[in-house]
Order: sequence, then C-alpha cells, then structure tokens
Amino acid sequence: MSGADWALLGGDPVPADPVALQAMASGWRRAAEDVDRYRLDAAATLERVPDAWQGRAASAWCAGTHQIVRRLGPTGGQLESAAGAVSRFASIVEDLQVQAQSLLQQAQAAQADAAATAPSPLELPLARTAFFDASPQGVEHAAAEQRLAWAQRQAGAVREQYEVARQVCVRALEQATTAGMAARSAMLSDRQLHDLALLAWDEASGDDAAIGALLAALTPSERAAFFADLTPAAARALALDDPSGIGNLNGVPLLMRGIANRAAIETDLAAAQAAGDTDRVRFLQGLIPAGATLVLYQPDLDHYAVLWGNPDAAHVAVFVPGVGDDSNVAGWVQDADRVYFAAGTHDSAVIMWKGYHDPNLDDLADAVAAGLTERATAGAKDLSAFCTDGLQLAAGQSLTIVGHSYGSLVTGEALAHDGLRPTNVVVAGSPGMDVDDLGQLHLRSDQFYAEHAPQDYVANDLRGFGTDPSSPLFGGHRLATNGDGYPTVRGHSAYFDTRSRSLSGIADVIDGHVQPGDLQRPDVGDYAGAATARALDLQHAGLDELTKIYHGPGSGVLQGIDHADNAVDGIIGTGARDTVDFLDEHLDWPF
Amino acid sequence: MADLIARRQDVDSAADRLGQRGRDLSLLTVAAPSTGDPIVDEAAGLCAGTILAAVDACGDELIARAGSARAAMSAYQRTDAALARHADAAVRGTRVRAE
Repeated sequence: MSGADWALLGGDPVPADPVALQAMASGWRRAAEDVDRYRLDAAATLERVPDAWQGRAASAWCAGTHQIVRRLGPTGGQLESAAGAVSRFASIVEDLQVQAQSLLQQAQAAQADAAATAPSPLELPLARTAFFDASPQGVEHAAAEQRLAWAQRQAGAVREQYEVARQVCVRALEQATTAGMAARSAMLSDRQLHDLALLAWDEASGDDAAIGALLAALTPSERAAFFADLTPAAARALALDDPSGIGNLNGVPLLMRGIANRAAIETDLAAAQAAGDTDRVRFLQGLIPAGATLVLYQPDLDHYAVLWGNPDAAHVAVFVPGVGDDSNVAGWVQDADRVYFAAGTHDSAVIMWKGYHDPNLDDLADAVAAGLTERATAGAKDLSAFCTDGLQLAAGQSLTIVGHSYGSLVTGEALAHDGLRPTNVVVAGSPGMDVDDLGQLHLRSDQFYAEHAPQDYVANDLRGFGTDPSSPLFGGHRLATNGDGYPTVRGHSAYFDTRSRSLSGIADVIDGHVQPGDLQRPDVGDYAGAATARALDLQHAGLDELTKIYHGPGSGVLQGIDHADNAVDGIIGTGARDTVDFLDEHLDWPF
Repeated sequence: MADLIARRQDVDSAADRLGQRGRDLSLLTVAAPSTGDPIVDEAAGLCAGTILAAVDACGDELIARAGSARAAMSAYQRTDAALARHADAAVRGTRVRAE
C-alpha cells in the first residue's frame, strides 16, 4: 500500500516492518549466543591458569580477568533481552498490520460506495432536502459514509495499540541501553584496576634499566607492593642487579636494599683495593660489620644507614648520630652496635641512619644564623621519609628515634614539621631541638627522654636551638647518665659506652620497659638554670616571634641575633645551674 | 628453571586463547536495519551500539590482560635468567677461590 492509500485512514497506523524487526532480533540473538560462547570459553581457559601461574600477581590477574569475563554474562543477557522485546513487538506489528489492512480495504469499499451513491451535481439542491435523505440512494450513501467513518475510527484504535506496543518495546530497549551503559562504564572502571605488579612488568619490558627507571618513578608503597609480588629468588636477582640504585629507594624491602648495597659497596671495595687506597678500604669495610645490613649507601653524599637485626622485630630503633665525616663512621657504627646489643638482639633491630648533610661548621656565624637549621630541615624530611616509607613498619612494631648531638636537632625538625611520629624519642647531648617545649614535637611526656651528661660541652655551651630538652621545663623525662656501679659517663661522646647507665636507659626506652631507676629527677640547680634561661629568653620574645613571621631582607641577620641570644641564654642558664649545684654541694643549702 | 619455562608455555597458551576471544568480541557486530519506524530505529540503534560498546570494552580488556600475562611471564623469565647468571658467577667465584 502506498502512502496515498493510507491517507484514507489518516496515515499508516502500523508503519514498522515486522520482517525487518524479526531479522534484527534474530541477529541480536545470534550475537548474544556468540557472547555467551566466548564467555564460557574464556572462563574455561582461566580455570587452567592457576595450575601454571601462582602468587600474588597471578591471583590479582586471575581475579581481575574473572571479573571481566563475569561481566560478559549480563551484557550478553541484555542483548538477548533487547532481542526478545523487538521480537515481541514484531509479532504485535504483524497482527496489527493484518487488522489495518482489513480496515483499509473496508474504508476503500465504503468510500467507493459513498461515491457511487452521491447525488449528481444537478441534484445538489435536492441533496439538502429530506427528500434525498429519505430516498433509497440517500440511505445507501449515508450508510457508506458511516462505514467509512467506522473504519477510520477502528484504524485510530489500531494506531493506539501500535503506539502502546511501540512504547513497551522502546522502554525495553532503553532499559537495555541503560544496563549496557552501566556495563561499559564498569568495564572501563575495571580497566583502571589493573594490579600494580603486572603494570610494572608491562612497563619494564626488557631490561634492568627499565625496571630501575620504573621503580624510581613509583611511590614507596607501590615499590613495596611490587617487591611483595616477586618470588624471593626473583627479588634477590633484581636486587643483585641493583638497577638505578634500588638499594636506596624507600619502599624496597630493607633486606633487598642490603643485597643491592652490598653488591655496590663490594664493587667500590674492589676498586679501592686495586688502587691501593688503604684508608678507603678500611672505611668501606667498617660500613659492613659482620651480621649488619647496609640499607643506605650514597658515598658521594656521605649518606649511610646500617641495620642490625631483623627489621620485623617488635622494637625498632633508628639512631641518628651527630655531625661528622667518613672518619666518624666507625664510631657511629660502634655506637649503634652497642645500642643493638644493649636493647636485646632477640626482639629488637637498630639502624644507624646518617642521611643528612653536615652543616657548614667552618663558618660559625653562618652556622649559628641559619645554616645549622637549614641543613637539619633538609635532613629531617629524609629522616621522616626513611622512618615511614623506608621502614614500612607493621602496626604492632614500636619505633624509637635516638638522636645524638646534631642528630637530635634533625630529629626535632622531623618531629615538629615533617610528620615523624615514633613511639618514643631519646636525645643525648642535644644542643636543642629548635623548639621551646615538647608540645611542638607532637609528643606526650611519656614518649620523650633526654640525656645530658656532665661536662658535655655541646649540651652545655653550643646552645641556640630552643629550650634544652633535658630541662625540667621542656616537658619530657630526663634519663640518668651515671649511677653507682656503672662506668662514668662524662663529656659529649660517652653516652653509648658499654655497660653505662646512659646506654641501659636508652635500651630500656627502645624495649618499652623504662624503669624508675632509669630516670633522673631534676634538682634545684636544674630548675634554677632552666628558669634563668627562660627568663632571659622572655626578654627577647618579640624577636623570636619576628623571626618566625618575617622572611624579607635582613631576616638572616635577625635570625643570627635571635640564635645568638638563645645561645647566650642557654649558656647563662647552664652557668646558673652549675652555680646552684656548686652551692648545693659546698654550702649548707636550705633545700 | 625448567619448571618455570614449562609454566610459561601454559600461561602463554592461555593468554593466546583469551586474546583471541577478546578479538572475537571486539569484532562482534549486530544488525540494526531500518524498521520503518524512526522512533524504534533510534532506540534500537542506541541500544545495540551501547551493548556492543560494552562487549567491545570487555574484548579490549581481555586482549590487554592477555598481553599482561605474557609480559609477566617474560619478566619472570628475565629475572630467573638474571638469577641464573648470578648463581653461575657465584659458583665460578667459589671455584676460583677454591683453586
């Protein structure tokens, strides 16, 4: 039927082609069957993989791939569902088209009858009369017109049925579309969930340098995940190749760092031996004492870290030594070794970390003004990163930072500004931590311990970095450095002497078993000295505040004056304490 | 070492099959002929296109994951070969020292 024919009924009431609709539905069904066949085949293939490939990467890969394959099930189902809706619509269309066809034929017949019985032009005036209506021709004509109108009304009803059926079909298609969009979105989202190790393997398609570059670009936690995915043999092989210095990258397991750095230092050692450089040979040999692990080796920067014990031990301590160069490394190693054995080798580990740049002590004015704290600030960030990203301690492990001398200043900066949050802190022979009290270090009093030995010229005289942390006004506890039956600890470098009171106190803090005998109660002299220093400090509190908020031209000079003032306050405070102690010892002091 | 190589062949074979299924899915097409009703045509076209896009995404992902598995096997073999090299060097070093 042409469009002109359907005009009699106000247009084709059922325009869709049921044959085309059924062809479309059949095509979609075949596609759904294909999807299901591919899905089942992929699932069966996946089932065989775990027999051949195991481990965390394999598990992650299989889980992700299973997820993708699983999503194919409902996706094929949506295609099947849409095909069903189209097919049902096609059947309805077929029925309605039969009805529409019949109605069109009836309408055409009625139209023809109406035309045949219509009055001639000459009779037109009569047509308006009751005479024509009552005539047999008039009755036939009216009946034909009524049949035509009925067919047109019926066609309208068919059109309505068609529109309802179409609406049902379109709604089903829209629902399948929405589900398809969700499925596609979920698949794209799954694509983002590729497991890290596999991505790493993909990226590192070839050589150690590529793996090294990739590891260098990863975050510490990503590196940790990467190594966790390797078999021990593969991890060891990678560490031995030491691509791009992975021995110094935080996130790489400490024992793997040790393997990498051992390989690197042995290369340097062989070169030094070949060159006959005995000093260098002695120094390098000192960095790898028996049983220890070299977890940071950057000889060009004079940065080193050495681990004793198992890094998974219940108690881990990081010893941050004071200023020094290669000639001091042997002493630091010895000190850390003593701390390790004092803390108990069965459930503790100790790391000597010297990863900061030494301040410029040649120019004392510069050092006092800003150089010391600037260097400490840079080192503090690395210390904090090493303790968090580098150690990757588990929830149940404790971490104690032991800062000696300038190492305590670096520790203070890390605590105050770089998010370092250890379990405990011990400082020994500290020139100050660049803060006024414990609150600025984000620690409670039961987390902080300070040692200050007699005649320690650094703790006594090289002041200028805030309140003396061993002062009773600082807020922490003071550990005894001497006691009956212990070897005498005096000066700046004896805190870690074997069997000393100071060393056993540090070990007790690391183990979490601080004894009452470890603590030294402040005496009158301590209070007098601290109060004197604090009183003097208050006199230039305004200058303190100014240096914190003003950083323009001349700020270095202001900081220099401020530090010098602090240093003088500290020294005078120390003098006041010593004076009171002297009076206490030699006079009949009333307290 | 031999075990790992044998496993690699198995994983490679599975990866090949998954990759082929991914390509099959990505090549899948469905008929969307003109039905004579523009409203139905539009809804059917959108529906078929969307579902096929989802199937295609799945196919692409299977192809990518097949590639990942092959790369992982290759990387394992590389590190295993590196381990073998070091083990070999260590053995030779021991012999040198023994001599």
